[in-house]
Amino acid sequence: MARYVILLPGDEGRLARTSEEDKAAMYAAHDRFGAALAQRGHTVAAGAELAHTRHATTLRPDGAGSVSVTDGPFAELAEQLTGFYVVDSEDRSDLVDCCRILADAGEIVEVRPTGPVTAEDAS
Amino acid sequence: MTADEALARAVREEWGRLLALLLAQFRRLDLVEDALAEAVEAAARHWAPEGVPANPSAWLLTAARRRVLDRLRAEAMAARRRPLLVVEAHGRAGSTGRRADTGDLVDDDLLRLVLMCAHPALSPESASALSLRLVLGVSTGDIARLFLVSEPTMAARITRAKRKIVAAGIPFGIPGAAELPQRLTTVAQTAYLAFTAGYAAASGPDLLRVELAGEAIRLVRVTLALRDEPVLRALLALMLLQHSRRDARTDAGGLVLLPDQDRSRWRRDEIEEARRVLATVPEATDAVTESFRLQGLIAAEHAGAADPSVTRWGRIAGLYATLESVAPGPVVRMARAVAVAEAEGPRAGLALLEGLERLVPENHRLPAVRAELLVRAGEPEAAGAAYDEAILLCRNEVELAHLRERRSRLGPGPTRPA
Amino acid sequence: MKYVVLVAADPRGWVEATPEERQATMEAHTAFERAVARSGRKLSGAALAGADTATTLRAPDGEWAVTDGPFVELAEQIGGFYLVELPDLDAAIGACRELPRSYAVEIRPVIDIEGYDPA
Repeated sequence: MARYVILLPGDEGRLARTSEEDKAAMYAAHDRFGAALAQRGHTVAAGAELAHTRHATTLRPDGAGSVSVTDGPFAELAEQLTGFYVVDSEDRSDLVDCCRILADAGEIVEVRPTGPVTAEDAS
Repeated sequence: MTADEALARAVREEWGRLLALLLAQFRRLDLVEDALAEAVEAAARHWAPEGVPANPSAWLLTAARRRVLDRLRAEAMAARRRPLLVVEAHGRAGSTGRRADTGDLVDDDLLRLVLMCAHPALSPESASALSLRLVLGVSTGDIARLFLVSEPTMAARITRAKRKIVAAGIPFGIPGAAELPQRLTTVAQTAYLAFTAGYAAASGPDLLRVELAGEAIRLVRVTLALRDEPVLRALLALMLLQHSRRDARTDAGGLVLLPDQDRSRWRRDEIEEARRVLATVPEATDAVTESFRLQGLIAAEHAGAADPSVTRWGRIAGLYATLESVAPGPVVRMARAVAVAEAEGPRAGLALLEGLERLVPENHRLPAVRAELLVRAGEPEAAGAAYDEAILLCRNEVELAHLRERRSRLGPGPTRPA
Repeated sequence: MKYVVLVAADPRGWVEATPEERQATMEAHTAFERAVARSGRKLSGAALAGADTATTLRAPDGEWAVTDGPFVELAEQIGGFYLVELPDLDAAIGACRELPRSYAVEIRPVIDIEGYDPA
């Protein structure tokens, strides 16, 4: 059993211009995705839809030993993270296959294994 | 005083405090701001025929509170929920009579409002605009004019800022003691942004932009009265010193530079106040405070010179050198070069400018300063070339006129294509 | 309020770190979690394995394509994240100050859809 993170980057500008029907279709795809995961033995540990990066706050080293707090995301990207899932699975390739449901609906999906290094793992 | 004047004064002096009280009670920025605006409109209708109330701000508070409660009841009924909020609000309303008398509590609410508006999670432009609107009660239209944008643009900017406050969970609160000084530094930087926007060279004398600088000073004073923090004192002193020269900065001919200003028109009382405040700021507290303090000391040097010829340029050069170590950058380096040129001769100043064009390639001020120093160093040809470069890069009418005038004094330059 | 805390750092930082530096990093994460627990709770968190372990799916024009690698190559990559519940943004910022100073940290509010929990 391994834990994976599914990242969902998206073009925020395009998303803002998405129609209500298309948004509903996207949410429906996520419902189908969740159902497929459950059916095929993968467990969703967490997930969330993220607010627009205009509502982000970033902390960065300020070059003088301290931290500066500013508005906005940490990087200006064409595609920003719009959501994610955390999934426990024993079959990575099947998990990737499930992600096709999202990709077919227009999402960009990145599947990443989690690293071994967390505060919990290390203790 | 007429009813209109009484209302204008009440708005100017009490808006922030009233808004903060309402926010503390109801926590709904959207409702509270609209309600207070409606209360002011109602006052405009009622005070003239009925007479100005004995306690104008209490009248406004009561009127605003009534409108918020009406709105909350309507929302609760629409949602068919128990009007819990209304009950809660009543509970607090009962105690507010006492709160109004307890200076501390009222002030803390205003501080909460200041900190909310100047939160680092808001873009600096948004924070400045929001602070002017909510803390100082400046109208959206006036803020738009002060920042040289259209009113719908400014209204949208303020709306987005309020949306972010809700969406990102920016609190109406006072952070812990460890965090507070940093947050007050953000307030200082927000105010300074508004202040310098007021002094961005405009075309000709513009009273409204001097007003922006005045509002920025007011924001700092309001905050300083709530929390005495060195960064705010240092900034106030700096702003007062710069602001004290406002009557001498322009004349019928346009912008008047520091060496040519009529010093008798500098406001001495503001300079004195600034000096007193500056003396209380400790050295080397943190980079931002120290930067303001050093800039203040430099401004104080100019303020103390009855005539440009007695300016202590050596001291100013030394202060700029220290400022460079605290807040390095091309702007400080250029100012330091000018001071060093005055103290030690133009060549010494020119030496400090070497290589700066890499850092500010599109900036007209660097070649302009270079040109001036080259003239003094007795190199009119090189100076002419530098002025030409500055003129090419300059986009500001007033400064362009100034540069062209200086260029023309050197005699005809090489013919340039139109 | 729910927030996602995205942590970005140069991946070489961990690889090239000394044992002492790694220990300090672990302690910073522990301090962060303690700070979160003081006024809220951690709902989830994970460190991401390197970008070279990623698989990306895109379906431009309905035809999907699977590629090895992350959706974007950055000098600073998302190295990990937390999902936390905290009273307000200041609480989130305060907790994030405990994280290693070399990180870039992005705090993003979560769109809370009432009654919806993917887990």
